[in-house]
Amino acid sequence: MVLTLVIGDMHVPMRAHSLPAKFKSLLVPGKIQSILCTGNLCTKEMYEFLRTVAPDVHVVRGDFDENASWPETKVVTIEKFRIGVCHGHQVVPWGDREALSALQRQLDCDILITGHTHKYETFESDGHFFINPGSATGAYSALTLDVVPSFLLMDIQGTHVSCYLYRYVDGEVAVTKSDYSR
Amino acid sequence: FVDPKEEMKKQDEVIDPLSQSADSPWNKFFQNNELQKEIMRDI
Repeated sequence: MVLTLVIGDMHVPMRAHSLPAKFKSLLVPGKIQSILCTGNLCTKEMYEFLRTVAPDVHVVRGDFDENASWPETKVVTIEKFRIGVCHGHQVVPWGDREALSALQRQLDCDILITGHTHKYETFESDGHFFINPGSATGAYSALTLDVVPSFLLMDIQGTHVSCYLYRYVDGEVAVTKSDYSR
Repeated sequence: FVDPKEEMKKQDEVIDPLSQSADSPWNKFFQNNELQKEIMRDI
């Protein structure tokens, strides 16, 4: 069983000053095995924070990231799944399901993780699973009017994934679950 | 031995894996994992 954190679009310090305190208290070391980050962390400090949560951190480059060593797309294999990660500003129209499907075929992955729209979303299409963790800080986006801070936690077990979506609504953390089997 | 997923099926509600509360099955599960690791090291 592998607990994988899916998080991204923090925009610290340009559009938000930090993660909500309640999120920080949830993200403690020793529980999560790996992190898939959709980029736009914007600072080294944010990356170091992720490194404290889990030793295995995979980051792709967002349009506001200055670290040129991060790749545009990345495919990670966890248990029986090939998981593709991409920030998503390259996929036009942004967040469009058909465009995401094309990227999924290009990367040949079972699960595709993208960000950029700051709008959390999980959906299944053609037997593949698509995940958007939204923005962890609820940073401003030109695409979405009211952004809810959110991140995702995937519990991967063989060919089954349980997704826990964490949202920060009215000062409280709300959790919802969705499942996907290959 | 605690399996958080079985507990979830029993209680029929979402139990969040990062929960801080002491009686969360996930916390018991993490504690057991730590204990198992320690036992493995001792053996």
